[in-house]
Amino acid sequence: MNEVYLMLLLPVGCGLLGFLIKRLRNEMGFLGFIVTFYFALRIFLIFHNKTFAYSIASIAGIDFRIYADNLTRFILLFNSVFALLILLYSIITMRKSRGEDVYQLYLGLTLSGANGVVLSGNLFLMLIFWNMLVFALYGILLVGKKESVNAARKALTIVGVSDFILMLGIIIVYTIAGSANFPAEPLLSLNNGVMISAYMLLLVGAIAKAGAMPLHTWIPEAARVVPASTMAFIPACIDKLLGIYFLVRISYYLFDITQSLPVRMTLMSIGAITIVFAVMMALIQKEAMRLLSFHAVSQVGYMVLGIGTGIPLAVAGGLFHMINNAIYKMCLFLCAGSVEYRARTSELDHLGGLGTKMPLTMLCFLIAAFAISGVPPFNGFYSKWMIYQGIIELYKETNLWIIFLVAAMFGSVLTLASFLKMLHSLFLGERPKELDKVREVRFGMIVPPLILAFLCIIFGIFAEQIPLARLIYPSLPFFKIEPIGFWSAGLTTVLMLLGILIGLIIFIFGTALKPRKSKVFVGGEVLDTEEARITGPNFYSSVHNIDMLEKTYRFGEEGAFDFYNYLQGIFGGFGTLFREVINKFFVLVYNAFANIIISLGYVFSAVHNGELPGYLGWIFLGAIFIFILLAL
Amino acid sequence: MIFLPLLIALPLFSAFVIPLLSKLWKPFAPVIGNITTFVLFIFSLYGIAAIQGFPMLVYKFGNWPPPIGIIFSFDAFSAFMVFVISIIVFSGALFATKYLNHYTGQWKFWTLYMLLTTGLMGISVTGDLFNMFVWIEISAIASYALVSFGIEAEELEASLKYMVMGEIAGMTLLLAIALIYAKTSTLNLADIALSFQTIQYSKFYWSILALLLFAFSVKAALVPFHFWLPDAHPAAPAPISSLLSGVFIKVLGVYTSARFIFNIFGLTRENAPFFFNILVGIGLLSIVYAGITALSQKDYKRLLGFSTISQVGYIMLGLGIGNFYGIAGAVLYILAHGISKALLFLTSGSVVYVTGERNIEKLGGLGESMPTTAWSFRFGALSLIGLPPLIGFFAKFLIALGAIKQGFLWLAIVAIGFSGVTLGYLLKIENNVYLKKNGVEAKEAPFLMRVAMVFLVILLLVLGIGYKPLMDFVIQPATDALLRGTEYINLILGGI
Repeated sequence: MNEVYLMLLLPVGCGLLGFLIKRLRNEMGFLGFIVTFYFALRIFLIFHNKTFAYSIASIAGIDFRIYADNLTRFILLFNSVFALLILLYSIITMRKSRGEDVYQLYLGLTLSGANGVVLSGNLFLMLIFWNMLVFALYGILLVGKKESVNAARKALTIVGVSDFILMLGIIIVYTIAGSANFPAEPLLSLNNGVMISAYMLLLVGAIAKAGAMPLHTWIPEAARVVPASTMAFIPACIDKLLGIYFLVRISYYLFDITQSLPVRMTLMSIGAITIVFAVMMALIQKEAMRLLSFHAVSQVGYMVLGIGTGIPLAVAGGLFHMINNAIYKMCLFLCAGSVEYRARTSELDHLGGLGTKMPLTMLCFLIAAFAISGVPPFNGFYSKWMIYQGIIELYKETNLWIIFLVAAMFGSVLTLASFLKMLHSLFLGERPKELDKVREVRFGMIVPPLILAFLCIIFGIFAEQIPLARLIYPSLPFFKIEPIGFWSAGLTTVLMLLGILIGLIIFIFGTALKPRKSKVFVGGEVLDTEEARITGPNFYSSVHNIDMLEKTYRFGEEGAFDFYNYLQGIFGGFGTLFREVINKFFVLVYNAFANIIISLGYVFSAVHNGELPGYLGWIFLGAIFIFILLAL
Repeated sequence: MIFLPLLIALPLFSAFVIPLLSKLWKPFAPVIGNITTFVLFIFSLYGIAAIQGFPMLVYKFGNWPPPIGIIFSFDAFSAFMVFVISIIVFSGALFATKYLNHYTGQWKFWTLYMLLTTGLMGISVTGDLFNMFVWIEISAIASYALVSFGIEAEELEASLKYMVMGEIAGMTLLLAIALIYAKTSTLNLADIALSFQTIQYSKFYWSILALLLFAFSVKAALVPFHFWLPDAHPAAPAPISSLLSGVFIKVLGVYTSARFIFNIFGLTRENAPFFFNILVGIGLLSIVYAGITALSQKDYKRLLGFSTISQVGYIMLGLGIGNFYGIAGAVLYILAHGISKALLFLTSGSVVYVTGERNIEKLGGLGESMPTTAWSFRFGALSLIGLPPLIGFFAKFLIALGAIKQGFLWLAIVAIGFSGVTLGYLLKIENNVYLKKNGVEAKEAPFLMRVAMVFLVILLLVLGIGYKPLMDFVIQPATDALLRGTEYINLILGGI
């Protein structure tokens, strides 16, 4: 029990102490996060196959309770592991930069809030923690370049509006089911319109938290202006863990979506659309962070798609993909952040050829990029493969399975394509002259990506033995999951290692890192080779220029898919209405009222003329009045 | 139980030692003053701990049994009052240490300050009517002298008016005491209560109540008996204003009237609804009248003075509602308003200390140059308005809850609605003094003054967040002590 409270209090408490005692900030942060990790580990070991519910308060019939089971302990563990890695990384990158003093406080607040969300056994309690996270998100987004104010405001609006929608959903659930506790017993069935709408409202909340389309727009906007560690921690990791956690909770612990095909189709459509559109936007980006942020959106699609199928294997795959995605996406963001830290730019046009200068960073980036693209034997492949298998299983229920499968595979291909581009732009190709002095980053910045890359490999090769058997399958106790098809990690790994070895030999003895140079001939004009450097960002400009797609892209870049812009327009209209019509009326009424009160004040204070006899007169009048009332 | 007489003996002793020792070395006066108030603060905490589980502690002077000898009776309500007094007195002394640089003859200030403290403590713990009168007069006379401490024309005039009106109340009280003694031949409070049970609801009974209500209303500065306050409070040095507004009027006016109404006269809303409606009326009149008048003030401290009258109205309103929530709200309000208003007066003192100016229209832009003062003001103001999680919120909330439970929905609406007026006049200070740019040169107040303000801000927060234990250990026992009514007699006379 005490562990649970400590999970909530320690991170934010130590963050606060560090904020107050500046000299001990890093020590406090580390202490808090390490002890949190220790307790997360203890909870992980204690609550194996056990559930635990404890009511902290019961107010107005709402039972605010804490609930822990296999799913909880698994998310809790990863929350604290990732937070620890980010802290390690951010201590170096944030040194002497704007907002350094509050950064760890917000990290702590985020971790506390995230732990709280996961530990809540009641939707209302969860909402409270989620609001705490909104506050932390707003604060942490403000730490960054000046323009981060806009991104923070956008995030606040989108997440805040989704919170209201979520609240509506929770109230409907509470009204109908009589309890907002989960897991619900028995599970609520989606057999009437009200229940479906309640589920949909909760779904909006979940996908807004997870950052799926169309509620993703603050993520790419924030990408350019906030530190890499922020991007790696919140949109890439915590938001995914919590959003998908919540999706699993509402889909399989509160409602039972396996009963309702239309609901699942909606979910899968959201997933498929997110995969394809976000990855297509990612393909044409020219800035490292922004490119990665679109992938952060795109990957959510797989998880939503997997969980939406209702096929046990794919649900497990979705959950597995969630944790895999957090691992490799954090690694990618941190590597890109390291490059930005050293090169002082993240514009792909101005980067290139850093592979020889930053070999470890490149190695991590390479592994994570393979993992996200779904190349075996890395972890991303395994979870995607489970999701594909699940989608194929759908053929019994609907004929549309083929569309989802194609969308998922198409997204995977485009992901690989965009990472080839990014790999080339960052680490291969010709290096601009001004980057000659770039060095490998310091120890503290290289350790987190290395650990994450290592996890990518472990979770890929030993997928069945470690993550699935220990983490994922126990979290979904109501499913009996039987692997379909055949996949031998061992053989493939050997083959892959062989391939990599050959590639490495070519890489070392070949010319991959030494770009081929030849004279450029443009009709007599002599060009400097620096000017004629081939950079990565335009790899796919031919895709960009396809007639129909070009328009779509233009709309996309202009923000036509941005629900925030529409919201702004609507509220702007309301604002004008209020300002011009309703406000004027109220101002009139208010002014009249205020004037009356204030002039009354002057009348009253005129009684206080400073003359003692007058005062005494009033006092005696009062005394007489009291006597008449009481004694006569 | 030895701490009971020590509560009075200690400040009284300091009051006499200060003139002697400060001849030797000047800083003795503030040092002794601060140590004394700090020890009192510790005592008050001990008192709260000591009263847990006991309805009443009685200290008999010379071991004479109650109706014959003089006693100190200490129940949870007394413990609560001692707690409030010691908080305000402690922070005021801390603040005064530096603030008095403006004045000459500092040891006189400290002597009077100690006497004032003695009187307040005495009123809270005494179980004897004439004893109470003496303590009231001691603290009142000390306060007349302290109001005129600056001996400028304005201060002397204010003090004179205050003295005349205060003594009218004092003499009325003496008249009431004489009448009571003539009728009951006793001065012990519990014994008087016992005698009153035989003549309950007679003409005499109501007349005495009217006399006492009048006297205590003047002391509590309820409208229309408030005229001395807007003059006296601004004229006094800031720590004294803070003491007068924060706790003085509450001990002399509210504590005494509550003690008499509930424990001596044995009135409850059930047996005397008419009387309780009068209390509600007086409270409401104070809230409305003084709140609106405060809006038109231009003097920082005078505005706060009117605000005090308005806020004391809330306390009377809570007592007048008369059910558990109303009374608990009133008790909590004594604490909440005591701390917030003391804090606000200290900020005014800090502004006056630095700029020498009290007219808010001539001030401006101090929010940047005096951040601690400005933020202290904001916290005090927010608590006064009733913003959670500061302690002021819970007090107002309980009063409104009590009103609703008693069937006075409109009363709850008015009480909460007048928070808007409170907000209005406090914003007037915020805008004029701390926000508006006016090119007033200023630097932050000295360290000790800031410590005093921050101490009160922390209390506002801590008590607000720790509302539950505060309620369990302090407020609820105090409320129960009042609601126990004439059970009070048995607790004092029946054994122990």
